[in-house]
Amino acid sequence: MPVPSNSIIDEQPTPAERRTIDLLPAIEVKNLEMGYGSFVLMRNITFAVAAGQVLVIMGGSGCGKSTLLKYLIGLKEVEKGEILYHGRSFSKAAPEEQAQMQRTFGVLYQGGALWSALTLAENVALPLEQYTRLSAREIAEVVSIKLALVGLKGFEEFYPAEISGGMRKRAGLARAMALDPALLFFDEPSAGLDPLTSRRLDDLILRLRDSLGTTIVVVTHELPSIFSIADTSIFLDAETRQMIAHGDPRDLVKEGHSDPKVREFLLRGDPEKTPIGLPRENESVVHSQPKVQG
Amino acid sequence: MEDLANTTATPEVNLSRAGEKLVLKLEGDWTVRHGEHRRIEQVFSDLDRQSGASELNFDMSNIGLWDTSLLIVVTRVEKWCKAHNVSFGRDSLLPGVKSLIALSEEVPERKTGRDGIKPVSIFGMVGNATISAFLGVNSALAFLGEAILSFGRIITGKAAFDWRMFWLTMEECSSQALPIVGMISFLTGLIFAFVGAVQLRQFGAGIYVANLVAVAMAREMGAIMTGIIMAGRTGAAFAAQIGSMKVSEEIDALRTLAISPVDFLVSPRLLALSIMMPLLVLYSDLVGILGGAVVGFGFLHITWTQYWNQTTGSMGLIDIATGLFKAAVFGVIVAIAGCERGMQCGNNAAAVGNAATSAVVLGITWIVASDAVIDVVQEILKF
Repeated sequence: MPVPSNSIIDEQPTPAERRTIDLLPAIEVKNLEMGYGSFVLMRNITFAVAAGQVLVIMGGSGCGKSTLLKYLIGLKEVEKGEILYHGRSFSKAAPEEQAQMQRTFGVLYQGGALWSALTLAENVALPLEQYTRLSAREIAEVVSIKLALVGLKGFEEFYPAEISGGMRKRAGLARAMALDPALLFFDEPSAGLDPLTSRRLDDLILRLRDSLGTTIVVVTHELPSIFSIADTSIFLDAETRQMIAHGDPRDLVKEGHSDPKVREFLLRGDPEKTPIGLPRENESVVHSQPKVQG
Repeated sequence: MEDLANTTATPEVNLSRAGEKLVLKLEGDWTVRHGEHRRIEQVFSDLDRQSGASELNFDMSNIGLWDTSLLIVVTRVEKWCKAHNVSFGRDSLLPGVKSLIALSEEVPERKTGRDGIKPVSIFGMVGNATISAFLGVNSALAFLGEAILSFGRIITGKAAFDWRMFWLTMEECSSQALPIVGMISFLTGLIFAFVGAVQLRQFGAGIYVANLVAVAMAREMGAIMTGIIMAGRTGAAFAAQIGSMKVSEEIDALRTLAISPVDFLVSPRLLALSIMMPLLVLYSDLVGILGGAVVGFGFLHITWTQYWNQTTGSMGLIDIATGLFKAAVFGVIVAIAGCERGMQCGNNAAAVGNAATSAVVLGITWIVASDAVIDVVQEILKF
């Protein structure tokens, strides 16, 4: 069976190495402690994500979800604990090795974080120009495909200031996907998007997982998205400063399967309610293909 | 799991034909890193020679790794099929490839009208620049008018005046500005004294360096140098502060509360800078004269008393008043340029940077231009 590639720039492993890598978790976090200066935000965070899975980081506002993402992508230095990708230590790696590993990441920031002086096409093309040997024509073709995947075909020559916030976020996603990364990190991808665009984004996440085998980490507290995309999830609790749940949110929502706080979160505080986005019994999750309005 | 060791690493592409059906066989690793997929150009040449074909299918059974580079090839082939009326065998694609291609086609291309934009000619650019300059002057004057009206509202107690910002700006334009204004003014006085000393010493008139420095600092250089420093320091800060507020919709929030942004944001800054500029210029004059005195004492061997007497004898009240009047005018110019550029700022990070740059350029240009106008008027009125 053909295997989607997730490493277009660095030396690719030999087939034997590939077999070993496939057996290791794509992401492994061991006893991570997060904080700012002497303030400890969260301690003993331990979890693993298999390759080709979608992990959702959940928790209330201010619990440290986005901070955890910063540790995962190397924007914050790990002082206690360890982060490994495919068995290779990321947090203890030398800066050059860390930079090499970072090139296999794609990150979508909350506001898109597009470079305002560049057009959308130039934003997506920049990583390709920097890290591949593609010709200008090929780069243009990749850019066109990436923008089409996020529903922005025709907006190549627009500047970020000329498009809406939702479109900026989608363009940011196109840039994050430019190098076909092995790992994609999304910080609040659905926040501020209309339901159709949000649903389409969820659909894209699932297709990237299924088609390219991309391992995806999503920070969100949008319940429909959580139930729609998550293969596994973790829940950070600001009160105890610990990760209090790890598993499939469809299991965590069941009574007695997790801390009551997690259930309360997933049910929006109403235990009688059917979780938003979770199908009722005898229903299966069907992803429609809605058209996106600009 | 399949045996990955059996996959072919090198990408290969072969075209075969059976009757009217074409088969494009792709093998190996199709990743951007390999780059060999550029051989596809040869296949397109072969395709162009195929006449009478009705259908094209893919054989992807031996593909190893793949990424977007495979999608590039597929989309190119699809375009070729459309152009040559050949049926494109989408069902022969790998499920993952098919899924991504389908997703990329879900939202049709938006016709944005960007493609038909023609480049502007040199005459067009000159015309646009001229119109833009006139609109800029018009906008600055309108803004000045708004500021004057706001001042009227402040006097009558009808404005939402932000006193905290007023005192903060007073502090920023006073104690915090003293080191840079002092250093530049001292060096300006020093340079003036050196330039004068070289010429005047030839005629045994070195003592008149004190006159030169005193009059130059009091009438011109004190005000101009302070104005330029404040344009670069405070004017740019005003533009960046207000520009950032515009980006984060803080100005819209003020408007929806029926609070005039000019009253709340511009007037405190304008008033504070207009009050502090004359004081800064007075300080600049004194430090500049001190710079000249160091040259007189150190290089021309003039005593401190001689230098002081020469300075006070050469300088009239009108010289100091001229400098202070210019200072007040320059203060208004710097504040108006900074605040107006900030209020006109676009809604992104680059626009904030442009607003700050524009505020400095506009401020300095107007300072020099207004200085010239004041000097000419003064000459005509024989002050």
